Amino acid sequence: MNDNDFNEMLKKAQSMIQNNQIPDDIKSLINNIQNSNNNVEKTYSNPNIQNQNAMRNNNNLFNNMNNCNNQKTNINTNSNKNSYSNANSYSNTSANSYSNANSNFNSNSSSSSNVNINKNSDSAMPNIDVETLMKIQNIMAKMKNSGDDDMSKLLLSLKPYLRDGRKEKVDEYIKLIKMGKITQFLDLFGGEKK
Amino acid sequence: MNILKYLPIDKDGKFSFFGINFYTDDLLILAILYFLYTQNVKDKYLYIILILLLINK
Repeated sequence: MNDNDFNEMLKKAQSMIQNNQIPDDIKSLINNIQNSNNNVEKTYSNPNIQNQNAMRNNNNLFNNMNNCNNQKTNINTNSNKNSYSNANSYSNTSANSYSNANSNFNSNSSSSSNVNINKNSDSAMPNIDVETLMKIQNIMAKMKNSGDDDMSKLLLSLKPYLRDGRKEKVDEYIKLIKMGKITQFLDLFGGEKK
Repeated sequence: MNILKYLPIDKDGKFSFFGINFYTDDLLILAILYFLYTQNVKDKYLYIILILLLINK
């Protein structure tokens, strides 16, 4: 139905009211509808009121965005809490209720996706302590620099002056001592240190 | 100049000292152990390896 048809209907109704052909209840209803239409036309024709409405809409959007951010932080910090506990998002007028609902839905969807990502990342990453990583790093560094220590240098320099049977033993002993030094960094039997 | 003429060491580098047969590399290892001890070297693994080399024939 167009606005012109609606206005024609209103005019017909007005003429019927003037001729006293309509009951009083319907008269009051028609007057209310007509007054509301006139108010809407005035507000849309006045640019100041349009700007005020635009400002109100922007403020409402800003408030909704803040509510979304608050909900995201609440959900990220405590995922068990209900995201609808933020009462500010429901204190707006009925005109903003739809946008609030949309923002709540978006915040819930984004927060649920964040939680899922965190869960997936937790399941993908094994529980490795920083201490164990540092131990592994130390062991790898020791294994790398095992041929550079002074002891192995002295024994290798002594090797050409030894008999053939001892030359072979020198290499074996150097390997054994390297393994012994590496095992110092490994707690093979575990348990708590006193 | 052949120094071996003046030392009781045979051609294989073996010599006898108080009835115990030594080789020249044994003397070298003993000299290194003595030097490390006099220099207060605290590397016990180095001492262990040198003593093991000295024991093994």
